[in-house]
Amino acid sequence: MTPADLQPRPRLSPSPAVAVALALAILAGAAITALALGPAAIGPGTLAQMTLRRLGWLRLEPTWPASYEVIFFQVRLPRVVLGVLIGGALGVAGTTLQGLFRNPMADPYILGVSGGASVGAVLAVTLAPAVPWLSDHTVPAVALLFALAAVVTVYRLARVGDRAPLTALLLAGVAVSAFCSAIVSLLLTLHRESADKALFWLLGSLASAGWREVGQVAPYVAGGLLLALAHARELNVLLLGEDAAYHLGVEPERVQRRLLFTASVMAAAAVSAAGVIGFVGLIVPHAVRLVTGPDHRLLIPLAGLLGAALLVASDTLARMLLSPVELPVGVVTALAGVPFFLWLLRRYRAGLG
Amino acid sequence: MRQTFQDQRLTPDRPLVAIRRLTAGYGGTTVLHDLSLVVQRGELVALIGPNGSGKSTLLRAITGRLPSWGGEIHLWGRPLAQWSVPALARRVAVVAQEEPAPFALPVEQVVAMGRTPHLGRFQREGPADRRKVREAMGRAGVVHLAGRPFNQLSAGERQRVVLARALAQEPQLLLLDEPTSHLDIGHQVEVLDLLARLCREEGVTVVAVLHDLNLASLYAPRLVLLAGGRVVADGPPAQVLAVPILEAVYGTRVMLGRHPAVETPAVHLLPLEGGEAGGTVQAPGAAQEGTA
Repeated sequence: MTPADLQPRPRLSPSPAVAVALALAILAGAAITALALGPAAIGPGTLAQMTLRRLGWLRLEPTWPASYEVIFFQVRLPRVVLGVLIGGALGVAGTTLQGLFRNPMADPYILGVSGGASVGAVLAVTLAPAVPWLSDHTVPAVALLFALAAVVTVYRLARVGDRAPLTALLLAGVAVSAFCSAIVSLLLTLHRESADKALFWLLGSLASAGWREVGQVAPYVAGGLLLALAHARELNVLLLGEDAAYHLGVEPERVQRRLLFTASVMAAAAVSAAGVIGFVGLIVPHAVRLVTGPDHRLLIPLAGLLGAALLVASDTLARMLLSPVELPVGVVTALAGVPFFLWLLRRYRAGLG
Repeated sequence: MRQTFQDQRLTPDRPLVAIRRLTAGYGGTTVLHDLSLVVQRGELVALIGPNGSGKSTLLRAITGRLPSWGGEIHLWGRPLAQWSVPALARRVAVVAQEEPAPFALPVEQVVAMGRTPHLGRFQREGPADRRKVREAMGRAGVVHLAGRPFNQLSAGERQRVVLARALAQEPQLLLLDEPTSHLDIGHQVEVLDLLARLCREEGVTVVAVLHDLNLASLYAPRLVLLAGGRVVADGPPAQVLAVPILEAVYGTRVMLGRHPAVETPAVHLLPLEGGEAGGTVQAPGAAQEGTA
């Protein structure tokens, strides 16, 4: 018995077009709310006018203070766009890995992405004062590098011949993650002065979002999304097991290798820009699967859209809840995520009993 | 690895499957020893033999899922290594014993996956594909299960769904690993009737691992008996189902009878204790205890 044998409810089956349109509407709602809310509340009407004027489609004299334009275009918009990219990346990566491992408990960090990125980021933060070419702007690059190194290490540890058995990958992922978190603890113990900065990063935050970060993350997310969508059918076939997939013309080891790296690179890009944001990549694919069933052709786009919506909404909460103090968004997603996770566990237990 | 050049004796009449001196196994354990077997187009072959004799391993080796350690396998006259995985899947379908079913895929979608090797990467199933899927479901008797989640079916229902998927694949060679192991007698007959009809009317070549010797005898014109990873007998039921062979291979005592209606050989088991001593006596009329 595997965890998801236990989805006994008959599910609603909305037509794919309706489901995607609904997810788009939810994302649009979350994005507009995020853009409007803040210390300066800007109404949706003003948002629309500013956008149309900036695009040159509408000629009118601004009826709003000039600072609104800066807030909107330089602060909130890039933050929302980055939230969409990262939430989408986590949703798609989580869906892909849950499908590959045939396990709804898998998440985007399962191959050591978060551990590796954390070591890289904390190293960069602690060494920054001593090394002239290390600055806050290089943290994402270092984190990305370490995240990818961790994934490659996990894969090599698990590999037997030209295959990497999934259970071996899981175990290697757990081992490398544990090792990484020990190194992070060690670094932070030795360099308490950088703990604040590091902690904010470790918990995940979109506070440093700017167009620069958007530009860094976008190519990975776009490429990853396309690759994942292109392999949606193979992912479906792999649900039947490696042998059955092989006999249906899908080379399991090759597809697994490709998708493991695709998902991990997406997750690594997300983590490098905004730290370790938990639960988005775990909750969203699972929730979507409960409603639509396990067809990846629908699951991947929906999980991307709804992951984006969840992260943008969580980030808005993180900004607003204790304003002007900003919470790390990872704390918000985890606070929402843990109850869901417990509910998942309860279902699992009930199904076994 | 034994290096042999293209064997001319295998290619002229182009048997569908030609296996020569195959050695294969798992880890450090050799399961198939120097096994040779030729299957012609349109044959219905039953692979029989005790547990662990290499029947499933042989099926896995034929499709290349299990890499062979030595010997040669030719399909349609071409060495296995020259077949790409998708090209092979357009011609060969496999019905395995058990498949994992972790997520709740609807049955119809599982069957539709049989069309995978016939579709391009971004191509969706067309009306012709959907018709073939429905047709396959009809033949395997699973139309009524179409909307049910695959992971909530009984083992026997799953077996027939996997068979439907294999039919949707439109194979020329159909390999089945104990396709009737979870079926009741009604469905056993249905499935084997279907296999016989595919073979007779559509020229599909069928190689099926069967545990039930009587079912094998009833349906397969040719039985291949494996033991210890070797072919120990190969021929029509009357020749393979002989008491000395069966007793040596299976390590239990049997009696041979005759099917009362169709005259094929029937194998009767003898309980080790409490049964009447009799040995190899032919017992024509003693068939009242049902299938083994």
